[in-house]
Amino acid sequence: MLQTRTTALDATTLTMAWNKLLTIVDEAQVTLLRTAFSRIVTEAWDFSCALFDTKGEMVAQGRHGLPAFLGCMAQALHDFIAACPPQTLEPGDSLITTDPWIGASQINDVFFVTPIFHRGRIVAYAMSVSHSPDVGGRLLSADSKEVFEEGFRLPIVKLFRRGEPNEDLFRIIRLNVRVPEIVVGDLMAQLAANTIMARRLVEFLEARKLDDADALFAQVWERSDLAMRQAIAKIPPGTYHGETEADGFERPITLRCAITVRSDEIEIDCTGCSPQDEHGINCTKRWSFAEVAHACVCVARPASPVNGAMLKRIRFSAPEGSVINATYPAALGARALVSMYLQGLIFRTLAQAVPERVIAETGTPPHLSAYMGIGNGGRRYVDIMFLNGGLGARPNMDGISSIGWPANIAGLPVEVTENEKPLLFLEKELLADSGGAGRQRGGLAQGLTVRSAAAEPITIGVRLDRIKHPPLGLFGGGPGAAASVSVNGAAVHSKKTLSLKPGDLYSVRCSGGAGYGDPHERTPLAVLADIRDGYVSRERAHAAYGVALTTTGEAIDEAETRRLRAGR
Amino acid sequence: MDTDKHFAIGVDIGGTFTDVILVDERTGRVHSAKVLTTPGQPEQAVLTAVDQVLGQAQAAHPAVRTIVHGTTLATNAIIERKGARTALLATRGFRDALETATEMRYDLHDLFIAFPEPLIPRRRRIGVTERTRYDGKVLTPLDEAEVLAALEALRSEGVEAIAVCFLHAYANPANEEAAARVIQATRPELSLTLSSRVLPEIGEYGRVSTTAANAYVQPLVARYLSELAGALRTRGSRGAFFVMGSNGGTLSLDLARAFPVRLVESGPAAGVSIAAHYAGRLGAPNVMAFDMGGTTAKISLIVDGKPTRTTELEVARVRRFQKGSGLLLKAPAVDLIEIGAGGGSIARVDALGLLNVGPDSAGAVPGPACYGTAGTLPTVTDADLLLGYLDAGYFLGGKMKLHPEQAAVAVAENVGKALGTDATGAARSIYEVVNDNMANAASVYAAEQGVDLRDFTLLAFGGAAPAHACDVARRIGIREVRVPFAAGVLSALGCLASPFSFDYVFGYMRELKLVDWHSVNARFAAMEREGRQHLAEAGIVADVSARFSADMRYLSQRYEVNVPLPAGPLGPELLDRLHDDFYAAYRQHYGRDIREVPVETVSWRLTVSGPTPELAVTWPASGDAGQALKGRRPVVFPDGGPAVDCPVYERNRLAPGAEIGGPAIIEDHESTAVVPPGARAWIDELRMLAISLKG
Repeated sequence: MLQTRTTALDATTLTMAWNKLLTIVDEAQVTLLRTAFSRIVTEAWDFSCALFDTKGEMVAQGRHGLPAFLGCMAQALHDFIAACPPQTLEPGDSLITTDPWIGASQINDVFFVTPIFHRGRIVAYAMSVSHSPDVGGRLLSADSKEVFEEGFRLPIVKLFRRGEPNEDLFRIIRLNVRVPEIVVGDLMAQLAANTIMARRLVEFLEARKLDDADALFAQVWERSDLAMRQAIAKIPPGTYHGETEADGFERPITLRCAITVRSDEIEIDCTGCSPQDEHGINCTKRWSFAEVAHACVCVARPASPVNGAMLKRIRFSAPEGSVINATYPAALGARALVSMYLQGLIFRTLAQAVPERVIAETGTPPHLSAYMGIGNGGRRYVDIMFLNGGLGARPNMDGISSIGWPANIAGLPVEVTENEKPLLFLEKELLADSGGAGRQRGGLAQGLTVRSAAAEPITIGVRLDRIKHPPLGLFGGGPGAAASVSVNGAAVHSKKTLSLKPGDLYSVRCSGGAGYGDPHERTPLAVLADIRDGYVSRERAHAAYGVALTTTGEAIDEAETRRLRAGR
Repeated sequence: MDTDKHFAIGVDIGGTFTDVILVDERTGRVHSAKVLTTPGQPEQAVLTAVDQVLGQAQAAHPAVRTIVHGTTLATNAIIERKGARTALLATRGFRDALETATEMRYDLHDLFIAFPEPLIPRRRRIGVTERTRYDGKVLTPLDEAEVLAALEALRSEGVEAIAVCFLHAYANPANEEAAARVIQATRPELSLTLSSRVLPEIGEYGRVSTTAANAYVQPLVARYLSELAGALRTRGSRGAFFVMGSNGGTLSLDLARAFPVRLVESGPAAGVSIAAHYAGRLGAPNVMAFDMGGTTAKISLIVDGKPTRTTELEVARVRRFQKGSGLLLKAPAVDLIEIGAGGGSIARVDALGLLNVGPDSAGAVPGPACYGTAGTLPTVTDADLLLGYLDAGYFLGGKMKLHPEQAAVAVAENVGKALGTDATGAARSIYEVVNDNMANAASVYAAEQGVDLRDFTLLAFGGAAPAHACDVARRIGIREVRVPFAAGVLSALGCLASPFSFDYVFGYMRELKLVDWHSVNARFAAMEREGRQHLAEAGIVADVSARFSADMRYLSQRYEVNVPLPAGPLGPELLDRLHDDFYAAYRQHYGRDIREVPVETVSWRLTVSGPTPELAVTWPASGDAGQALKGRRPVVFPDGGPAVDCPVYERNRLAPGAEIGGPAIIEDHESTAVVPPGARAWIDELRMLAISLKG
């Protein structure tokens, strides 16, 4: 039984208590997800909830939410404790910040912290992060030059004091955003999530007659660390080098890494990345660490729920002033357009060590353009038009077509969107041949075409990449299709804000997942099935897979296929 | 009541057994039969079992008033991919909604996740030129020549069924109806499902997924139901034939054939119906039904006497118990959660030294270690045996001998060693962890539903539930536990406790203040007329009720709450009341509400129901109450010290009024109830075992 801080918990008690912690954060996440107004929260799961120990370490994180928040949250609480040490806090207090250098590299991400009091002192902290629908400033876009254009920042401040709202602060917030009710509504959703974590943890401690959770947290931490060390030990040690390139705003962005795997840690050195850009495609070091850490966890697959302990086994460095360690006052609003290359870079680099545990590059970043206008009901809207690409092929499985990655982004709901906004969608469908050829084929991307049926212009802050840098395959697999964006059939810049006139057609092609392995090793029957389903064209089958069909197109031309595959 | 027809028959086809129960409505006397399911021709097992119960009652088919039938046929057809070769006609440019689904991953860190293949492959999904706007205005009429061309192209595919799902068909079915006319004129033999008929709701993925599933299972289900009904008629049956729907109500044969997707949760729904029935008879409005079997535990809630319902469910999950890994079906259903916790759940100590129980199960083969068959891994049943809850010589009434020594080896070797304890200590840990898992799942589920379980009564049924119920209840904070009599046939009995009930929905998304009430009233009226007609055709005209509601949310939120609507014409004069009702429902779920943000409606719902049947059954007289105490054995309880010498009772011999103090073990042929120390147990007038845990 849990008794004193020094007694080790028995395995049964620890199992149940750990499950309880996870249940607590999951319950908080359900509450936040269901009561949030922000579309990016409900459609891209751009939120997370976690419990922290009194030292500021993250011991339990909800099983859903944005993967990269894991890394950001794990780092952020230390700043809160430094700004507001325990003696300055009282029951019912809650703190927030939107500073991207403390939080998640975007000022929309609201970090909300509530100290959990039990028997007169702080025993833990609850944190929730949620992407606010609006923080003032210009429309979320890539073409800001300074963080000031992107909205107002809040330092670490008390939003609630002894349970009472800080009305001055609320008045400032309301005055600076376009949709005050729903911005405040989301803050209340975060408060509800934190309150649930606090209430449930205190109930748990009461039920077990405990003064604090220190012994439990320490054991959870210790076992999580053990799980991560066990997982890392399965990766062959060595130093592996990798490099990739993104479109960038005006010039290409180079991302480089050297990954050193030791018996109990992974070190990632990103020396050699491009300098920070004058446009908003930069990210902070915390955020790039978070993307990299997500990739490492995906490859290592530790045998326990992910928490902060695992991240301590991942060391990360990136040159200050580089595009992935941008310094104040860099613009950061389109951080994803560069940072979402990082998972693919890590996988490609670790393919040298564990080829069976990584995937080819995914058609990501997805299309993330923010847009605003007047809705069907006459109200102003600000929303994001998400569109996913295809997942990179796996060593033993094709990539998944059109899937949220690395952020878990839901498919754009056509009927709901048309009910809300004067838009008419003409197409949202998979694109033939967009998946990279390979023994395992990359997942297909989607294409989307929409016509403005509005009476006034719609503002779109285009955010897309991989126009010139399609996802790269592994071990002979071909690239996925490149992305494109156009208005009325003419290509437009992938990162500038534009105005869509009534009747204009806006069209996006996302990038497809890359292939894994030599396409000539794909069985001709699998290629035939792909042709029949329209995933792959006959021409592509011929050129990339070396598979020919009979003239009727119903069967494989064995002789010609042999000839094509031999003649290379 | 027609006095010549006084038997009601409930049928529950499960994966292994087909249960049939017959109630003599004059006396309340019950007869039951259990036969092996005949998967190729399920009607065979049904007919055999029906003949058996009629034989027991010395009755013949003409004396049967009604047969109500629950079936897993539709579900199994989807899981086993045994449905029809189906094609889809979609709006041009949108044929992939079925495949792209939600586009969300159910595991954030697994690079190797998989999703179920769509029921209709892309080669049989064809886009045609047509377009309707969100408000129902037809922008482009259907190009009928393209439908003809599609049908021609599909000839070589050997298609048996066709689904039609056009954008915004929920707002105006005209283009879908036009397609139906072309299909019926050209290929009348094809089974046809229109999205505007099966689910006129907003949301292209949910609608197409449901429409495709309906088309996919329809030929199989319709054939089976027609054959069974025909065979019963041939045998002289003149009773009314109903099918158990997922929503906890019954459907007529015609409705079941037209909307087989509504039968997917038929079996579990019958279980929830009987729980609701008992809730009523117990006078306990709030009940948590806890059904723990061999591989899973199911938990559902009866709130204010009514089963909690959902409007969507998931089937054919590729990762068990993982939400988001299956096919989404938008169909009204009783709501329940399923947990990987059953008698066969395997216990193991992981690489971190933690004890995990489930979700994988030893099943019947290889089975728990104590079965003495091929199983060597420790399971929950092994732990239950070692703790003294089960009697090695009286499992399934003695039909199956258990082997405690093999259980002890499995538990000690695989769990005890790693935890540094003996077989009994390890068994206690297994028992505690599996119960804790179920209690956690129940608590989170209750929180999602906005209810506090502490004033609920736990109703335990299924083979393993009575042995775990009290400890699960204690962990949740529930104090009252009830274990019904004859747990093995409760699902079949549930069929007879369910009213005829049909659900309607239409999608109409609008800010509440801007709703066109005239059009809402017209649609509701048409649906109510049709619903009452269906009931009338089934011979139900009295006590018909119509319940109206709407799914509402704050503008720009993504999750709705269901708000009851008053009957009768709706209009703007009700706006204040509707807002207040929404705020109240929202507060109930989330503990707060906001007044500044506008409210919008998404789906509008109507349930037309007949009366809930009066089910008054009596169980066969019990044996000698004086002989109920059949022995004593050592039993280990959680959180306690050493084994306690514990009395063991034979449940069949306990008559109403009998009182027993804990600790005690109460056994029957199907299960064993564990009454912990300090609890008070008695047999109530329904022959239910009632247990009151100490406060």
